[in-house]
Amino acid sequence: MIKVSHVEKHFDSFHCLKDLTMTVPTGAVYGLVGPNGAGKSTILRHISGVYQPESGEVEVGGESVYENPLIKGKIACIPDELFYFTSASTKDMMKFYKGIYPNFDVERYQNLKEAFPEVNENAPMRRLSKGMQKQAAFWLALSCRPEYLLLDEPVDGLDPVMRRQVWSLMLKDVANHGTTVLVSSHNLRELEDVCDWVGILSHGSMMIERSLKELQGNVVKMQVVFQEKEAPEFPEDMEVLHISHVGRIHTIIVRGTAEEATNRLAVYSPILLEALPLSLEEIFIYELGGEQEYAVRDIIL
Amino acid sequence: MRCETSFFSLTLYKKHLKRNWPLWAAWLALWIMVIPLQIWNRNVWGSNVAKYVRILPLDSIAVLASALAFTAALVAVTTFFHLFKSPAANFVGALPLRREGVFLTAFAAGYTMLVGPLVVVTLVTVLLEGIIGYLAPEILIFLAAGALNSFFWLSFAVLCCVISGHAVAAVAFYAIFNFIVPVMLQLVEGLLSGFLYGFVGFGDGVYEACGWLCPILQLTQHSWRSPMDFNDWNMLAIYAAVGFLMALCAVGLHHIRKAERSGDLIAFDPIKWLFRICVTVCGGMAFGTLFTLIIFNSVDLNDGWKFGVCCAVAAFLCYMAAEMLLAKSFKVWKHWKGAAISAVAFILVVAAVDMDWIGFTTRVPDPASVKSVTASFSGTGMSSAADNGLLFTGEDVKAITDLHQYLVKNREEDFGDNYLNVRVNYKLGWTSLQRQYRTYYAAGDELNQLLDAALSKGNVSFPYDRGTPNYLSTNLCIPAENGDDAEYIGWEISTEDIKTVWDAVTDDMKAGRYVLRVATASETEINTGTLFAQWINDGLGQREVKYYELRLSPELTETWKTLKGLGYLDPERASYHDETEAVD
Repeated sequence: MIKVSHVEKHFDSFHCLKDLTMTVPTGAVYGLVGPNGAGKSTILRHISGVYQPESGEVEVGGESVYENPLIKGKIACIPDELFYFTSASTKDMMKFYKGIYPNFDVERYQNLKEAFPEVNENAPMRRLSKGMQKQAAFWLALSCRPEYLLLDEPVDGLDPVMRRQVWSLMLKDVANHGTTVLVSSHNLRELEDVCDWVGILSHGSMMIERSLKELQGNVVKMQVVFQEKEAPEFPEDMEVLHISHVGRIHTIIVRGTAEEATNRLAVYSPILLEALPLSLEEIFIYELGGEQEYAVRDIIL
Repeated sequence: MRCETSFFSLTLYKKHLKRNWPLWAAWLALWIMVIPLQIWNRNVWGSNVAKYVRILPLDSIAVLASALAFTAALVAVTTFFHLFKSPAANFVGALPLRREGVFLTAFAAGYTMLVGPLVVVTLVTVLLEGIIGYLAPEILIFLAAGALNSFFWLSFAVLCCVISGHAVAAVAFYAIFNFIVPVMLQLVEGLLSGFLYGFVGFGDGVYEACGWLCPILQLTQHSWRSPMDFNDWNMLAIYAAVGFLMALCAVGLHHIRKAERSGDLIAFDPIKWLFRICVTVCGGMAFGTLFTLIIFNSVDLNDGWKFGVCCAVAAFLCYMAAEMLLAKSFKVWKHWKGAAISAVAFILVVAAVDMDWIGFTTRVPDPASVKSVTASFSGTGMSSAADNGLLFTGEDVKAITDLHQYLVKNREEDFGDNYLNVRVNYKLGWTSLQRQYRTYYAAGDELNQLLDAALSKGNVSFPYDRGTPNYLSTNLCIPAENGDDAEYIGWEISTEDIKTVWDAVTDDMKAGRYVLRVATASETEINTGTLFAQWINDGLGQREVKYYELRLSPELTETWKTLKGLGYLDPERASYHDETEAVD
């Protein structure tokens, strides 16, 4: 389990993480979502042991991760900006990782060669395309046999086929070895397919942290045609996150379950009343819509 | 537990060596060319190989120090690559290694890259010397000096890298730290000499101490005379010990250094303040002097306000420049308050010095508080016996304080026919007070009278207790007929005659047959003979050298008689003639 408790971090005068608390259950695939500058990469660097929190605790497997080589040996990390030694090939990096990571599995490295056929393991990594470099990073990270896999915008630059391939490999590790995956991404549709937990980060704080099921069950999109052209005044205790209309069809985003929302709106005797599930992307936008200075954009529903 | 979780990573160590191979390969090639190849060439084409194999390694040590100063910076920047860029910092920070492990591994790799090639060069040289039949131990001295030098330079460069978060800045700091102290010392001394009437300068002790803070000059300008010269080894040992302390500092700073500081000019907030202050103070003084020169055409320190304003402007600009460097942005106007405070501080300091708020220039000690005072006089008509120093104690001190008081109150800067340099050194219990003045006077004026009064009270400083010198020589300056050039004729006193001559000099001095002041310029010209004595004391590991120089005035009758009797004033026996040197 990865446990982050009340972590604070400043970069000069910028308050990057504000009392951030989050928990990633063992064996979960946890999606960390948030707008630019929310602190996603920063918290991943704390969890990978690169940054030391100014206050609070970052624990991985029940132990503080900072300056803890034993724990860090169980973590593989693919950062947003990849690093490799000058002129080093994937094979060179494999040899390096083999000497550094205690669980590095050379056999797995050889087996994974088939999964990444396009990557020339003898070519200098700087000569590889961005997508190829990303594939090489996955190849090496998965060969480390990590108990914890931290991924910062991991599939940027990968083509759709390779994305699927990579996710499939990671999910296999989750299923077979109980690997805990923490992934930050803007690609919400993709996270929706693979994550079972989601944390929404905004301005350095955790806004919402729930299982995907719970999150999707807590906000609902209602399409309603009222008898009147205009929508009626809704009661104050009905938490409407957003409302828009195209002609007479009103689209209302309401916090709560589909059943609750249907019952609340049924009292207006609408001509049409339909509950639709929200995608993670929609939840993300509407949840953050209430945040100050974060503009709500209408999206095509 | 695997070694990767301890304080050293063999994998990372090997990686450092592997990825930086061009650096150590070039270093190896350089020294192969400098030592074994030269010996080989000498053996094939030259002569006196036996001497050459002894001299070459010792002569190469100073070159080695220069080359190491440069190479160590490159090695530090490459092995501590993780300090400079965010992706590298994140990569290394995420590895299952302790920070100390990363540091020690990188340091060990860097040291190996510097010393490893020198070990190879030594082995090749020993092999070569064995083959040609001239085995000499000096190459081992070269290796040992290289190992100690490497440790110092690498520690120094690594400390700069750890303090900074930018490779170029780290190298720049390294270069600046090598020279900043003596440069600033010269600048401050020059400025204080201009502002503070009577300021002597910082003295040799301060310069000697500050010389140690300029390792590039200290280590590279030192020539090795013999394998077991303890001065050489002392110096290296001291620098290696300093290197050890710097390495300790570096490992401590590396431990607390935040990974997110990679890319910053300075990685630690307190050091940022130090940086601002240093840039403002050094830049304010240096550019203030430059601005004064450019705008007012000269640094006329009598107009202190001009210099103060220029320094204030320079300090303001330098403070803002420091902020720009720290922020890596030109938009630093919000820091104008700090810059303004710096400028005001500079104006206050310049005003304080210029207006002598601390009473430096007017201070003349109360004779009652003076234990003793040594005064030396030189200038028109002054004998070198007076220049060597006169000691005043008890009631005689007042003669000097009166003279001192006069000099302070009557600052004379207009050139006159007769000039006088006075240097006084008061012993005031635990402290001392030193001043020096240059002034001009005319015959019969008050200064003349005070000077005569002082000279009549002082006891001539003569090294009675130092014994016979190891070396003694004398020369005479004979003015040429046209008056422009002079002929110098010198005689080295032979070892067996030194005692005889020195005894004669001592007799003359004990009998008071010396003169402190000659009345006319023509007498000055006649009395231009000089006696030079040198004592060398080779103690354990230390060589102490003392000098004494005395004008051979006609009053030293016993000395002249002895020299003449031994035949030294015969131009045929002269050790040298120099006819080209101009008379000042």
